[in-house]
Amino acid sequence: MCFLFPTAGRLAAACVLAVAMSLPARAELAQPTGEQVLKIDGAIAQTNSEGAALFDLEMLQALPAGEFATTTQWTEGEKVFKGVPLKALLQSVGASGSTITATALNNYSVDIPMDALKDDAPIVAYSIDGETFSRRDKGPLWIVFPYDSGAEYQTELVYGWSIWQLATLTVSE
Amino acid sequence: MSKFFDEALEESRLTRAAVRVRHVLLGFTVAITLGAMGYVFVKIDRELDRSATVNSDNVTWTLAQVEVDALKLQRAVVAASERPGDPKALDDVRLAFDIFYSRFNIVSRSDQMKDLPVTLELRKTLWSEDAFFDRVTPLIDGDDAALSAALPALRQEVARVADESRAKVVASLQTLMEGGDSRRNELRRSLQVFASAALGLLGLMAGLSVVIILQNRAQSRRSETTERAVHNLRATIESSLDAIIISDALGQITDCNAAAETIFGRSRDSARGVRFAQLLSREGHEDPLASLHQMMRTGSPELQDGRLQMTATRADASRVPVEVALTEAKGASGEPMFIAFIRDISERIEREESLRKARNDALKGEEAKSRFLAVMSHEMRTPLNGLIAATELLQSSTDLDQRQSWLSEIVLSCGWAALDQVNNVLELTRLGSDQSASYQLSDFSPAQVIRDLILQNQPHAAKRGNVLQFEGADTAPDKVTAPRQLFLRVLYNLIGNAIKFTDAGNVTIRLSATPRDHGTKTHLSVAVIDTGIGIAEGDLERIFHNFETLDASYARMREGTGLGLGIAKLSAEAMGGTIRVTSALGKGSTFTFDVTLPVAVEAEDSAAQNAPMADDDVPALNILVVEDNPINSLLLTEMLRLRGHTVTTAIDGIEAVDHAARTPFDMILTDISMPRMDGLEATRRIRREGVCRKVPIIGVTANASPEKMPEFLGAGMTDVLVKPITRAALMAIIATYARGATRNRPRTIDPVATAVPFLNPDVFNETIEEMGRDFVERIADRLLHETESVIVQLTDLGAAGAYEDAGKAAHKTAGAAAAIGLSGLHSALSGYERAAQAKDGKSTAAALAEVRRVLPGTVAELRARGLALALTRAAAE
Repeated sequence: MCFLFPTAGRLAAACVLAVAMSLPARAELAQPTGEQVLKIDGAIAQTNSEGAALFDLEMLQALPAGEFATTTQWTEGEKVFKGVPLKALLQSVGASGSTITATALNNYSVDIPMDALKDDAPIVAYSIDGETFSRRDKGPLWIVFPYDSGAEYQTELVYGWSIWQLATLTVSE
Repeated sequence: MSKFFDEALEESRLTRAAVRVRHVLLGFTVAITLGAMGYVFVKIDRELDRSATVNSDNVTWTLAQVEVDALKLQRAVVAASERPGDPKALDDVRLAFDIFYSRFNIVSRSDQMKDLPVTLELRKTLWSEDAFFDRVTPLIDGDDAALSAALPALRQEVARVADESRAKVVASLQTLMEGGDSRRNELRRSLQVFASAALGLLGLMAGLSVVIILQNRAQSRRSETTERAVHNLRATIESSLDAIIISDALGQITDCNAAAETIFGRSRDSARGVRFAQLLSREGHEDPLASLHQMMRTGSPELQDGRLQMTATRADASRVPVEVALTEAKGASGEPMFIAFIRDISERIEREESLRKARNDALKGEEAKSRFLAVMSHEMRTPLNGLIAATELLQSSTDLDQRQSWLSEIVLSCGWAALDQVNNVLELTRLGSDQSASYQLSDFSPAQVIRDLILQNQPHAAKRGNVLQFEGADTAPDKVTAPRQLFLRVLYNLIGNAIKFTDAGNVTIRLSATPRDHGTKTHLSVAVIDTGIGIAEGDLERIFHNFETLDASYARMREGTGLGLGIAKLSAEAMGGTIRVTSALGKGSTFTFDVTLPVAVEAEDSAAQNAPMADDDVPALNILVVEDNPINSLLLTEMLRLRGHTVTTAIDGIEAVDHAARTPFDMILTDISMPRMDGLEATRRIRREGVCRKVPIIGVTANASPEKMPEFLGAGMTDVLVKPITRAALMAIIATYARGATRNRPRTIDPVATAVPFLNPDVFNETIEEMGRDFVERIADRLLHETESVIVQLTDLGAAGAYEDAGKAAHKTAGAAAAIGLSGLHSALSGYERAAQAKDGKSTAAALAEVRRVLPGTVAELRARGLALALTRAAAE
């Protein structure tokens, strides 16, 4: 039913709202209690603020986690990354788009097609070797792929998607 | 044909060599190319890997981001210092610091950027001890007041960091660009090498394609040649008249050709798988293939030209004689196999058989001819013998008037002439039958033989007005050891021939001798040179052929059977000699007889020791005559009775043995071939037991072959008398054995007794020369008539016992005979004279018989010399 208003952004927002309204069974997203680390907006069904879902670290840590060990070109040695798989995270907010625009704290942003997401990768990592990592140390969130597990994760595209100091995810059609 | 095979072989040999070379080249090329490709590939892969891991654009962006983040930090610090007390501005400062920190953290840890100025130099400024981050981080992490207080200082510091960042980023970009250039160049070079290698490989592949095409072409040419060769071979095998069977090493037939199908009566399919031994067999060989193989390897003499005769068994169990040759070969996969070549030789064997049969028939025919001739000679010589002996008896024992005497003389001379011809034919047969080695050797003087022959032939020569001469007897050895009979026969015929074809000319016999082998041998060359009609050159070959006279009309002109030269040639050859002839038509011929004979070793003349007793001394004997021919029997009996012997006759061997068992004879004369039991068997039996087992047994035979002598003597005969039996020969042999004398050595007696010649040619010719032919004719005529009368007279006187008168009468006539050279008559009359003087009735009778015998011979001799003896005694009377 969303394709009835394909060209109008405003109407699209209304459509998303309508979808969100139409899913009353879903549990309401809790309000972040700690420092907000992530904002998801765009075509999502679940929100806890105006048109967006805001997360603090605790909320993220409350979601089912995934972890893997890998080396990266930005860190030294093999590290164990732990975080919420991006796909699960987006599902938790009822994202329904085809593209995710990930934006970092320095406003660097990159578009990740929804098709590229797998159940376990990438993850939105919030800990390295069991430790959370600070904003100064490319934290607190980082989209990480298991680079060592296959050639498909060693492409320029994947490296580009590996955005650190992740701040915002925007789901769009 | 073999050219095809050679071609194929050559082709495949070349191909094999080419293939080897090509394999080596190909292997070499492939290795080099693969190596080069591998090297280039690895290199390019490395380059690509590097360009994959190092995204220079990304690095550039990251580098630029260092400056951007530094500037953002500077702007945040500036903003905060312009709005003092604004916590939001301070938070922005903190955020910008964290981003810059994280940024620099990323950059400083990056592998790709570790060698860039931004990492190396900025690190000192920012990250070393007491450097920017060390000093600023506590402020940032401190409370807002402290941070606000520090802002002015921070502002200056950040400005400196921003400037430095910019400188280092620019420197880094510069370095990066340079590095990028070199890497690109390297990549280009690698790609160029790769491209060249690929090009090279393409070239190689093109080359290989050419090689393959050439190879294919060669291959097809070779297979064509091979195919042709195989085709030719197959055609050869298939059209071979010999059967060809191919079997494996175990002797199982794998293939055969059409001829084999014919020989074995099997189709090719049914022959396959059959064992070799089932088709071919050979007596005494269980496995013919193995034996043949074995024989082939050892070169057994059983193989004739590598072939062995075997028997082939056809499908219908009939058998065919074949000849088999074997060859070892190798099959396509190198397993040994045998190729047998089989030839049906049944036709050949049939042919051989018929040839053998023809030859045997021919031999039998030849034998039959010989037998026939022998029998003929026997059968002809026996009646001739009878004829001659009877005539002699007629002349010597009965009173004949002149006409009767003359007629009997004709009978006698005709008989002798016929006997001569029979002897010639017989002699030729004997010479032709290659039994010449059996001619008896004796010691004789060649010169003497020639002299005797000249003496003998003088009358013939004179009759034709020819002068007979002998030259060059000086060099000849005294005696040689040789078959005298043959030597004599050669020259007798040559001289006779020369005289026959010469009229009023010369016949010269020239003897020359050359010592050989240190004088143990002598080479005799006897040339008989006449000035006769000669022989055309084209006819020279023919004249030695038997029964050959040069033309019919000519033959009529000259008497003769045409056997003379044939006999001479064969006789000469039998002695190991040769006869050459040179001739010019109308001028004469020269026949040269060359022979090398051993010189006789001088020995004492033993003849005297073995001299037979004089006729007179022979006592009256009791003699058994065994002879199936009644005439011969009668003649022999008469001859013996005339000399006072008692004769008992038997008609065959059985009767003879019967008589000999009962009566002690003094001597037995036996014919050899008789019905019921022959002379030899009879002799053996008589010798075995009975009263006669030690008496002399004399064989009487017309078969004068010396080779028969051992057989006769072996049977127990004492000696042999050859028919026709002349009185003299008979008397001589009886005298020899009369008193149980034993035979000293075997001897043959010349059928023609040649005692004293009828004529002494020297005296006779002299007389003719001196007195003239007419005179001699008249004298001779008168003398012959006188002899006739004297014989009658002597017979009467002898019967009356008036020996003295008889002796005188004989002496008178003898003297006359000697005067004109009638030596035979002289000798006979002298003998009578001596006998008469001794008053011996028996020997006078014998001597008279001798006179009677000599008379016709003398008449014939004189006639032969052309004397017209008032033509006949009868006419003269």
